[in-house]
Amino acid sequence: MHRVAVLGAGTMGGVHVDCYVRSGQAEVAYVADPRLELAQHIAATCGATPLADPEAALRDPEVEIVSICLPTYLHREWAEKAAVAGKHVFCEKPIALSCEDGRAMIEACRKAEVKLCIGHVLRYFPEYEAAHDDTAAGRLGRIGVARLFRGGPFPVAWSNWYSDRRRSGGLLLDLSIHDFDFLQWCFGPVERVYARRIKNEQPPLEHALTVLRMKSGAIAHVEGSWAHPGGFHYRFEICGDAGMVEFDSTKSQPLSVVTRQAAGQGPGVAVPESPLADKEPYLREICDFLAYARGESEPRVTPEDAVAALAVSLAAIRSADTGEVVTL
Amino acid sequence: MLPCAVCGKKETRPVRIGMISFAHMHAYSYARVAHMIDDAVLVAIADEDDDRGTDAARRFGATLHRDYRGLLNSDIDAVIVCSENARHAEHVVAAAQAGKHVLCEKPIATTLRDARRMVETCASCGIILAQAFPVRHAPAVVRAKHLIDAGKIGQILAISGTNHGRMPGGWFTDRALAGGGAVMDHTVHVVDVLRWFLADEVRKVYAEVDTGFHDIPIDDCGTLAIEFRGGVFATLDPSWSRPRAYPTWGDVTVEIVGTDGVISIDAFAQMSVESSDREGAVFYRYWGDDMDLLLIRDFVKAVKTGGRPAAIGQDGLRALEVALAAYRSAELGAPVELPSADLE
Repeated sequence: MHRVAVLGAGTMGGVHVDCYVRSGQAEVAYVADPRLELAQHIAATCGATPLADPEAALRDPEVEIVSICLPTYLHREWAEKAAVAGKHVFCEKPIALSCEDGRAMIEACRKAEVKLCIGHVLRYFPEYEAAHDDTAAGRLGRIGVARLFRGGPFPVAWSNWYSDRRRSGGLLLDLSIHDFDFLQWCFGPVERVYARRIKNEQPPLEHALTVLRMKSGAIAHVEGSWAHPGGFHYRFEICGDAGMVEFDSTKSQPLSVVTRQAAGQGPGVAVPESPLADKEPYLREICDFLAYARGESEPRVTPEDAVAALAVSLAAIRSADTGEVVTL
Repeated sequence: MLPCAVCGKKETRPVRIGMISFAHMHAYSYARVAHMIDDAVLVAIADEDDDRGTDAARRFGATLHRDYRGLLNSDIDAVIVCSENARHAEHVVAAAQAGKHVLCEKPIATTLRDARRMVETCASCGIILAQAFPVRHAPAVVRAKHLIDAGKIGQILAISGTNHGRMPGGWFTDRALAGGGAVMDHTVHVVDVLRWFLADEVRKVYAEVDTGFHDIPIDDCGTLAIEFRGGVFATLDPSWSRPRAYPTWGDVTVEIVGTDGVISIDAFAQMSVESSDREGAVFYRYWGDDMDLLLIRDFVKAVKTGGRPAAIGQDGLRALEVALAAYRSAELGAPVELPSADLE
């Protein structure tokens, strides 16, 4: 059993803990968060020790793996500390706020001879895997246009860090990076981007439209939204000269639950779910990482891929800031 | 005109419609729906292609003219022009000079100079130049306009639209006749809807344009980024990206993001899914309102009452300008600011 320390007890910290436990290959020894009560809450689910300060976890020689689920601006600092302490590092996406920080993390892990993985989990979502496999196998022919959407309400988290560009990088860096990574996974590197973005302070909203040209010649459109008051949803369509594939999460609902409201409360609200067993993306991502940490396999997403996706996000941000086309 | 003996209403004769050219396939739909409108009658067709004209005249029970000038000299009130894009100007200008009101297929023309000449001639001759933008009549689009104007989603921030289709082939891939490929063919519908929604004009256009799907000498795919003067930005995918195997011809979608909500339009979503062993295929069976019927009815009403149709020549000109700017932007690899002398 691998002993793991999870840094950050927000949404993703909870997901990582759950996946380590369910993997049957790891036990969570520590959950660290300055908000100790949150750390305690998650730690109680798996018998881990809650910490306000992660340093104690890094000093524990029994800990092999550190999962970093902290706000993006803290990724580099804690990845480097974990590497120096000789721990393998699994870090949530995006890898960092700058390519320089990302490369420094890679270098620190290389020097310390520990493994580094970045959680671009979209590559484990079966609908995206299937689309990737179809394009890789040439089933759709040469790709002309790919369209990707991802969005929902504005994310609410600790200290409102998502709304602070200096800490989260904003929508293009935090959310659309999923789709930028997917595009490069399927079609190779991006050639140039043109992006427009709008930010509204009250209510807090952010929305961005990015037009991309891939080096392969394919045209892509990535829409990211933290301005949809409905639930989080995503869709894509990939069109080639031999066929096309499209997916819309709002239309793919294998399970939906509507509960009767008390009299006078209005109609019930349908809550859709798309449950998966063997194909559950976060669990497979963590299991792949554990196998990589053991030296049994190569990672699906390299940290260099994560830096390359970040470079597209940063180019899109620069384009949105300047109004100009940015060539990578 | 004598009042009707039964209801006392003054009977007026129906609007007599002629059609110039069946080169554009929408002509068949317009001719079909013209027969469904009480106060209109399709009386004459002109087509320089004998076989096509003879077939259409027989199918729709209209008189055939080999030369459109003969049709314009006949007893008609209005004409629908569905010739190849590059020939719209010749036909519309001649119709205006003959004093016939005109509904012109989109895009209005292939050059701004032609479009302007059409708009100016029709204005000076005092005739209506309607532009065939049927999407403006789609009930979901009309309802969205109402909701936007009522402030339902607050201030509009961004819009993304699509007008996908199949590659139409024929003269649509001939630059001299069509003026452009997918971007020329499919940019104008959604741009028109956006201009209408926002009551604003386009300030800047950036586009990626390419030939990605077919072995044709013209563009079949692209994506436009459009900025309006008021600051709203939009993107639009006009690609002929639908495979022959796709269950329908294409789509018109518009998603509008506002400070208080989002409106999503899928103008052809009123459909059922049919599976046919006979045809060996699954396809979408559209059952919503017929936009072409709504379009022609609006035109007939304008002709009858001397009113203003939903979309006019100036709207066609503005939409064409955006399509031309998209091509220019793709050549330059940079955004194009409007108005631009470069597009002349």
